[in-house]
Amino acid sequence: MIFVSGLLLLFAVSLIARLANLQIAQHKTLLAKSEKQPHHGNLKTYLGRGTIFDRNGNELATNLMVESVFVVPQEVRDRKYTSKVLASALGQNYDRVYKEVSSNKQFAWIKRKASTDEIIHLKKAALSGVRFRSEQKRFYPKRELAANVIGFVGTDDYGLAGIEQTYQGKLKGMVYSQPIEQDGRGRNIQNLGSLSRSNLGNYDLMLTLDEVIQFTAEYHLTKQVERYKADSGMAVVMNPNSGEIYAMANVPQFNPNNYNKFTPETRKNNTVVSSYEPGSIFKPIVAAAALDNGIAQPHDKFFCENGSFKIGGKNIGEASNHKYGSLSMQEIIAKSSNIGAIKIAQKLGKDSFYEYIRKFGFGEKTNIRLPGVSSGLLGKRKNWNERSLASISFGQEIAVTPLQMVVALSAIANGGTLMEPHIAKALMRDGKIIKEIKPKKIRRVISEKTSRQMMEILKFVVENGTGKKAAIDGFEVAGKTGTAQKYITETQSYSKTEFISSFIGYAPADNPRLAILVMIDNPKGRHWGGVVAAPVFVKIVEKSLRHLNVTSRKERIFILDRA
Amino acid sequence: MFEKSRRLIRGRFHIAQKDFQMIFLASVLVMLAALALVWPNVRKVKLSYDYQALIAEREKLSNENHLLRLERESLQSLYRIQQLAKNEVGMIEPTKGQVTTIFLK
Repeated sequence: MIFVSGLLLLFAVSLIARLANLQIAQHKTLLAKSEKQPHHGNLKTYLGRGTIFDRNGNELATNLMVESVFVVPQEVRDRKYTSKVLASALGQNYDRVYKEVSSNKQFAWIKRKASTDEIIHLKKAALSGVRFRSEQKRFYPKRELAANVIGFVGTDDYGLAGIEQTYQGKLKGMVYSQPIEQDGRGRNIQNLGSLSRSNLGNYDLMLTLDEVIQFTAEYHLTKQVERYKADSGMAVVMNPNSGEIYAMANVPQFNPNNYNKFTPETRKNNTVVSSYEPGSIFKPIVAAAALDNGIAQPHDKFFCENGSFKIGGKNIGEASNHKYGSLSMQEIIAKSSNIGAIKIAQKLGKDSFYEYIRKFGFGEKTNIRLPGVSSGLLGKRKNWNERSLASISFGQEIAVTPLQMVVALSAIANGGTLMEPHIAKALMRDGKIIKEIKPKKIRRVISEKTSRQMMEILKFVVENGTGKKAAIDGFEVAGKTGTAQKYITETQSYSKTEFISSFIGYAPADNPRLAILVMIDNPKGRHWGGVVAAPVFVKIVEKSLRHLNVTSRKERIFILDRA
Repeated sequence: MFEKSRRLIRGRFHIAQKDFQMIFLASVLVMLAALALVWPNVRKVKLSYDYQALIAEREKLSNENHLLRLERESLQSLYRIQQLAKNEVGMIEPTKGQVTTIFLK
């Protein structure tokens, strides 16, 4: 009896001892061994591309879970029938599908990122060898809005244009592999590591764009382009004090959700990629340079040769064959006299003029982080011929991007400092700002006094000159019209029928909040910048200032106390 | 049943009642100790399954939430709202005299 009890006790003690040995003494060794065993799987989590927001947190680009369809050819029973159903459900070519289904591959994609309807239809058919895989697809909920700026991504989620391309490194999605304990049936038991986005690489991106201002610019630009049956239109809206881009509008527009249905030409962001001869909107640069250099004052008179001035064997005249005699610098800008601008530039001198053009940022890239940014065209000073100074003074023989032009005007508007334009406001994660992109001053271009003098001159343009249609009741507006003849490469001459109509300006003039350029390419019927482009400028200013809570002097304002 | 088994064991192994009680007590203690050791693990695995199910549920709800948010963003498209306001509701832009600005302090 004692023997039996002893045996049982011994058994119990040995059991406990073994348990203690396994659980305590060999704990670490066995745990390490166990982690190497196949029942520890890897949970692959795809962290999608970062979201792109506007400055107010509205989503402009995000991700959508969709399914892709692939086949395992060896598992397909009836190849012809399967191919037929696949081709019809997914809108694919039967021959291509049949070729994939009949191949010797282990795996063949039939359609990546198919639509929900297609997947539902196909799942109902329950075909053997046809499988589905969840993937993330880039989705642009606001469709055309700012599409030329935001860009788009390819099938493999790689940024191919716009912000999506330049910020690929920050936005890119990634697969995160996390060890997980699984049971014999492959069911997940517990995660063996923590998955936190905070220690991973990708970010969300907040842009400086404002959805409302962007929409306003696109809407009114589109209306005007349609009204004048123009080839295209562009508008840039910038905060002249910080260099933040509020809107970059391109017309015609495209839908980035179906980007391959549009031509590469339509998908271009012409505000930074293309350069144009600015025409008369360049005259404020000449005036600012002359004032800052001290060679002229706003009321100094210049003789405008009664409408005909011969330079380098070529006669230069005025728009609409005006014949101006003596005009002050202010009047030259207000009436947009070509000969007056030449006279100011001549007094300034080639070297000084060239230096100011460079200081205003022309002939170099703007440093904005967008793909394909052009530096424009500015001939080197040593290559200027006898007509170059004259031509450039009224905006020919120089090509600028719309953004360069707005940046230069912003320097005139903000007291004389050239600001670096930027489109990204902050890098974010989980709704928190990780890195803010601060405004950057490039250099001082003109003095504050010159800036104030230019404001008066540009206000005069809107009040008494070619820019009257840009006047806004209750706000002071400073601006300049431009009607540039298009250069025809084939004939190597300026067209008499095709123009680029522009208006550039800022408001409110004494405390600028917005610097805006509107350009309309080849309008039909009317072509004057003051007629075609200025009304778009007015609409953008009115709506945007209201959106920014800047009230006009003519407005009724009530202040209600919440208490 | 228990009494029957007890009698059978005592008869078969000729164990005194006191000894039998001791052995029984020792066995129960060993079993309880073993259970105490194993039970937390069993419980842990059970809770892990529940936790994984909750993670899957959260993932599903989070996807649903994301889709609804996307739908809301799409519906809030200013192009769409303007079209609806103009064409379906018949709204028009106010003229300058009709606009009053109210700031809340």
